[in-house]
Amino acid sequence: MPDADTFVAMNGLTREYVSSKGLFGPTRSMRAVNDVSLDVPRGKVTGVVGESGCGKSTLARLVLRLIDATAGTVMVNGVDLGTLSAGALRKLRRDMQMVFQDPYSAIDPRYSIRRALEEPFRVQGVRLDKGVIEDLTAKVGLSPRMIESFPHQLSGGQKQRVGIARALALKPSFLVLDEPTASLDVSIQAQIIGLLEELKQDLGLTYLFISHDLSLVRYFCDRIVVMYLGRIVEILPNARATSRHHYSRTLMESHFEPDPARRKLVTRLAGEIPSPFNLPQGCAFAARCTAASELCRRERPLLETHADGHQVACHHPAD
Amino acid sequence: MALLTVDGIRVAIGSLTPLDGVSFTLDKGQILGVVGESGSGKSLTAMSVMGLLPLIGGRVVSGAIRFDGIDLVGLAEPKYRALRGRRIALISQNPMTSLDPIIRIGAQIDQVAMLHLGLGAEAAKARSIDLMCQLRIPEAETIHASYPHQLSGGMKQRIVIAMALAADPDLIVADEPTTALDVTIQAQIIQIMVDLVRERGLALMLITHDMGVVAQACDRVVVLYAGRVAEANSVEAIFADPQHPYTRELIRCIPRHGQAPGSLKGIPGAVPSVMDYPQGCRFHPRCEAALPLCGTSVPVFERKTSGFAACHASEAVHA
Repeated sequence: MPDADTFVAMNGLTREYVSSKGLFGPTRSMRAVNDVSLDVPRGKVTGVVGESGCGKSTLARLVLRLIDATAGTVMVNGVDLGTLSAGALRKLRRDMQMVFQDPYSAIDPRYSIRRALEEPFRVQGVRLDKGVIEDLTAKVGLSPRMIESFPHQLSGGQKQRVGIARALALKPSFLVLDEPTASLDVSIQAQIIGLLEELKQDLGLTYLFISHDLSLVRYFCDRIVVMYLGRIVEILPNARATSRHHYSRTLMESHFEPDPARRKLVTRLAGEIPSPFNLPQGCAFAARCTAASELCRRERPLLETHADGHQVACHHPAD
Repeated sequence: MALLTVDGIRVAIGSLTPLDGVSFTLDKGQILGVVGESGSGKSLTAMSVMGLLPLIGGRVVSGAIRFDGIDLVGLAEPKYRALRGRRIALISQNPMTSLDPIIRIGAQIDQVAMLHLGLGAEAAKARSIDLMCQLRIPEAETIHASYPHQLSGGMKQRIVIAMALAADPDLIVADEPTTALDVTIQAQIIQIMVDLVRERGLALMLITHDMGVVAQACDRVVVLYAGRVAEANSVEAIFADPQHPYTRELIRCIPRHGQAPGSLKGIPGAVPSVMDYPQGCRFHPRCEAALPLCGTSVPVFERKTSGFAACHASEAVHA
């Protein structure tokens, strides 16, 4: 039973997609998210990191039930999302919102910023008091004169601020941030991360932060979840912990520091990423792993808890 | 003499001047990083060198571009065509825009050598497969017969690199070659490019917004801001002792390992549009070190205590 400090509890969460080869061809299935159990602690930033196809964005959508799970449950504040009616779910969504990766497609181009920010109130039937829109834009650092402008008049960073303002409109306590800075310049990315840090402090928010950028995750998150091909392979209890899974290590070694004195020696990765439609029987990373043994190819390692709540799914974890 | 010399080029598109006095040199066996935010003129600089400005209605109005003794500004298109692909090759950000989706991979690489080196079909194929092996493309024979959609993004980018190398060029212009790729793949591709430069004595102009990539791969760096050069120096010096506040801020935008929470700030504001470049130093409205002088007088690009920069706040050294 999740304790009071857990805001969201996922248990055995799975999402399967089926595709067919041609109109009458054989169907095949893949699990974008495969048996994921994860607690999101209240008031903390939980980071989910991984490469394309690891299932991190699908996980973000499952948590808010924007898509339905094939199996498993999501409990929010002790309420099972899967059992809720459409109406009850909509009401609960006031408390949990999402900030999308692409601020360009997240706002209707024909809506003024005011109208875009009024929309959540209209959809939820919440009374809109005078000055609320002005407060919201001020909170995300947009100047009041932008309220009457249209998305095409705004820069990418300003649009993402509108996206954040809209997510905050109904005073949620939980935000899912799905690569909110991936399409922005580094200078603007740093601005947005700074803003998210401030908002978390001021409003006591809980974040689930999805990213492919390890340096950002390490900087911004209290806890780091590493995913590979639909499964959690490692959970680092804090940003300073050293990773023990060989995939997480590869990920860290592939990240270039902005310091020529700390150049990385890039070792060649053997093997290819397996097809998600045809996963190997054992560890999904075994084909690319330097520490892989016969056991790894035969048996999939389970996520085991080590000291300090550090969880690793590896038969031969590094020290 | 340097292989490539870009000397004070001004580029006009209609009545606008998006590039205004960009200069740098590049030697054989060297990697030059061209960095800056979007809108700083990185891609326009690449297009100027490639002679592709007419495609967007632009032209070099003053300044010179010399490649191995040849004056590229005003070079007739048939002569440019003999250089492009043969001696100067381009790797673009999105491999899909460089590959024809309905032609087999192999044919696309083969035709470069057939066209530029006059090789027969079989010799060209043997050469392509050899190149693919050098780029660590597994099962080169099979991939040679595949179509682009059958390959992953990282593999497609390797094919584009193979195409760029097929005619054995002297200079490669790579415009954000790894921006669209996952980190582990990015690390591999950057390593491949660095190895090629070292082994073949190629010159590489690497356009990127990622200071991590710059620190990892480059020998020299040119920082562009709003169509002008802000600073140029060796990679070690530019990270250790940046002379221009813009360079300093750009480096600070990337969180370092172990950086304290709340300390990431970003650069306030955004790159100005070419339609309203500010008077004086174009960075002064965003600059924390701005002096009254910066708003009225354009700083000269001159020798500083370390390298060259265009900044009133940094002391000049007169030889």
